[in-house]
Amino acid sequence: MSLLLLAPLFLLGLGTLVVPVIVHLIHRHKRESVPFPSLMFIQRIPYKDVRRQQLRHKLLFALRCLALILLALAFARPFLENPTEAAAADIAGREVVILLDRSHSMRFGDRWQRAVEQARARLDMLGPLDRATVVLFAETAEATGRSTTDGLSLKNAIERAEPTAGATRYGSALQLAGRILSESDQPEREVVFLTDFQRSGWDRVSDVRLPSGTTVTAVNLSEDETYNISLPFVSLRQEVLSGREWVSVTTRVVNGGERQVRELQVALILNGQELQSRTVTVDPLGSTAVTFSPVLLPEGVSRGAVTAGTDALPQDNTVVFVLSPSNSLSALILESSDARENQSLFLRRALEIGDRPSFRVDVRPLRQFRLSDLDGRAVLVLNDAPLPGGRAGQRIREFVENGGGLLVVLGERNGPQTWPANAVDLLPGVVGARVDLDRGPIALSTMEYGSPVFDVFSAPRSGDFSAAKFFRYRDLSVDDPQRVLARYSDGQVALAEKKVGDGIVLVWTSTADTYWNDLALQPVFLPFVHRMMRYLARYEEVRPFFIVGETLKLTRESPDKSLRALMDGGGDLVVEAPSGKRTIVQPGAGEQVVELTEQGFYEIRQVDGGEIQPTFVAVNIDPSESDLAQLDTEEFLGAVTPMGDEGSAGARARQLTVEEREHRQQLWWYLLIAAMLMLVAETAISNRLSRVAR
Amino acid sequence: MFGTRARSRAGARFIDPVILARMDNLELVARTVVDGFISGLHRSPYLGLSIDFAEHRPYMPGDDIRRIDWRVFGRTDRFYVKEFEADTNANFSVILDISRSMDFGEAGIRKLDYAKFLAASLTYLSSRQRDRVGLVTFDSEIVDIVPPSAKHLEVVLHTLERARSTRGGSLCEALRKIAEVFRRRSVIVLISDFYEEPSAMMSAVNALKQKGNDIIVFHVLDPAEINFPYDQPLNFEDLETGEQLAVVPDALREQYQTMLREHREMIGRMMGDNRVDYGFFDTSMPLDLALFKYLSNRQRMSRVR
Repeated sequence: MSLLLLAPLFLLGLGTLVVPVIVHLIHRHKRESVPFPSLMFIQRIPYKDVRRQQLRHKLLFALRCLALILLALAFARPFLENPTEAAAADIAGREVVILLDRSHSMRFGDRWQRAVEQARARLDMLGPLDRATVVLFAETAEATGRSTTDGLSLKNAIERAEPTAGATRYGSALQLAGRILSESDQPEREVVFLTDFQRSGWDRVSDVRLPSGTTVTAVNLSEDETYNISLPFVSLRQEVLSGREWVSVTTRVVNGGERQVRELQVALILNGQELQSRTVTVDPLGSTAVTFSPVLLPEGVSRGAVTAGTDALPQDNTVVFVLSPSNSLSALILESSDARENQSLFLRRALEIGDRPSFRVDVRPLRQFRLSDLDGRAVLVLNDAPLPGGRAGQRIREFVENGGGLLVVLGERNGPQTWPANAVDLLPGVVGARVDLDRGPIALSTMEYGSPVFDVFSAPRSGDFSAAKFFRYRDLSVDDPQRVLARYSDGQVALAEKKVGDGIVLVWTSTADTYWNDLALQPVFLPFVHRMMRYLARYEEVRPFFIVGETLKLTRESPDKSLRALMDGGGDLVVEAPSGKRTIVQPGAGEQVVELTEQGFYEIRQVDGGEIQPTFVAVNIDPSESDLAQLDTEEFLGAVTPMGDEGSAGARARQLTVEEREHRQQLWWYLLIAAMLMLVAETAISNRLSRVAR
Repeated sequence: MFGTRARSRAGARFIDPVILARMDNLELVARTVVDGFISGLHRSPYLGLSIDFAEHRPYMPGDDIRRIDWRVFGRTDRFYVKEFEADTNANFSVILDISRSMDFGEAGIRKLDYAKFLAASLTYLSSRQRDRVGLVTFDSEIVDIVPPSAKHLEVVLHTLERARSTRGGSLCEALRKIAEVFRRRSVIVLISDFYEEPSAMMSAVNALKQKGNDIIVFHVLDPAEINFPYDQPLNFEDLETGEQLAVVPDALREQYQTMLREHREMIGRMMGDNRVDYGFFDTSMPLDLALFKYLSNRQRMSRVR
């Protein structure tokens, strides 16, 4: 910010400064001469011109000079150069919204301190009629209070604010600012962005625009050059070798700076103990993967971390995770007594391959089925075998209603005649006759990709079902099309589902071997079977870590065994955040949600310190926050400013002529008052000196 | 009687020169100063009384009956006392500097006026001692001369009264001319501010002294000349030459005072070396006190001699 002059020629008035100089140097000598008897002695004294040129009454001289300078400046009509600040200093009756970025990236270096200083400075510039709101935003936006003229309360709110671990989302901040401005009756509106303009925080697709007539001021707090090492990713591969479970940890080290990073130490820490370290070199704006040797998985829940050096944003140099022994899904395949040879071979082999989750598969003839066989099972497969009647059938119904999964594979022996009439309600439709495709095989043509069974196949080249040929299938009439998950190319139902109680029933209308189709020979068969099993078992992986901003659901159906144990253990639970902040959870009150707002490990334990082991949830910074690449500020401002408005910073201020800006500021008035005060003081002092002289 | 005397002493002694300056009549000034001075001296200043008859006056109670002129009593049947005229064996002259530099005074009285009072007082005193009194005024030239005479008191006082400063002075040259005027030994009182080189001045004074004159020098300065009390930068104008000089008094006060003090000391020392009485007066000093101090000192010195 600098000073401009509306009438700079008036500065020539500064030439009048010679007047006080002359007065103070010379004028005193030109007063009436004093008679003296003889200059005989005075003439003999060496006379120094310097002393003669000494200024007398320096205070008086300074006051006179200052008054003249102020007068010249006042007539030159000064005003502040910075258009936005000049406008901010003078425009009355504005509604100002200060958007203060408190996302994780604002922890970089001194960005947050500068942001707070800027916010305070903006509040200082508010006029008496201006109202302001401070909006703190990261993933969500939050106003510190209602729009107010009380700058002090806003400053206090800013002082209390701290950067969070959340990611930047400009959309929410813009929406809140737009709402505040829309509700305001102030004639002028201004939005001040105090942010680092992180590129990852702006979704260009979202069309959020500020109200028309809003002046947008952007204060970019980012640095020209940044250096940031981050670990945005960690992969955990658990496998059982020699009856013991091992885990391999792989991470990616990203160098966000433009300098090569040499000899960076990357360490693996498990339960607080550093187990391994690697030294890597990362190219500018590049990344490198670091894989640690497999380590034996300890029993129970383990807390792990990978760290890589430190920098101006140290939080993202660490990625944390939780390790727990793998959960395997148990499936029981029932065949009819006269089943074909190797009727369940393809199913069993497909399920034996999986490790996330791993499957324990038992194949058993229907007649050998015992009620206890369903204990601990996640999925039951009736592979071309009808639902048994009697207590066995009732047990299976209870199994499904209590959350178990049932896959019914229709075929030669599983038709309308064999399915018990009292169990028809378990099926999503009415099973009909066998359909022989004499005119040639058909294929699967329509899949419901929104279903968890097919969602992984939605992307191109993510599983080719069209190669499978179907020669026969059994007709299934489904009234509710919502239940149909796949159809053949002739439009008939291939796969349908029905929710029964807490469980799910899937009906596959062809065989699961190569008897009626060759799907089992296609590569897509294995993932298809796995997806069906995971869906039926409602399987969810225990996530090794969450991202800040996500929520943790505390339910009795949690895939985390240790968490389930705590929820089932009775009594209240306490969730303690890394900062020590505690939240009490009552498992009896149903599903509870805890928002994960901090990086690190959340500990979940019984309030009364019961016997059940506590568990941990790892939370990491959103990887996008580590990417400090900047937005094009002009592009951003253009995108958020209403159409037709000049959206760049200070656009409205630039529309004002210099005369208008000067007129609004009227600094000359203050200068004139100051000059008058100087002259009054000069008069008083001059009179006093004159009296003394007399 | 006692009370009247006490009042007289208190009123006469240490009379402020400024008050004297308000009196128009120099004779009155001289009487005021000298009478008070004599009455305060407690001893007769009359030296070398003459036996020459002067006049008769009626006998007053308290007069010495031996001084009654019985012859006159025999003729007139009244008591008359014989008055005798003092001895007039000495000439007394005042040489007064009336140059422009003497026309200066910031203490309420100009140096010239003070010098006039001094001259008048001394003349009056000498006249009462029956000396022949005379006066010479000068600046660069001799302005007025009143030859010494027993009857010239009033002439001297009148001449003093109308003496004015009109020109610059030249002490040495004037004194040499004056020396030619004095043909008879005299007591000469030289009153000036002595803005001359001490050595040149001394040689001029010696010209007077070599003729057997008894020289008494009174150096008169104004307090402003001594203390240099100015604080603002000023244009000083030399009263004698009219020359002007811009001066910052603060810057040279100390040097000026030192030089003036050395000048006075030099004059005093050179006068002493040449047996010339030297007295310094500043115009703020009460006139009778100055006379008293000086005459006391002179009397003491004359005894030593």
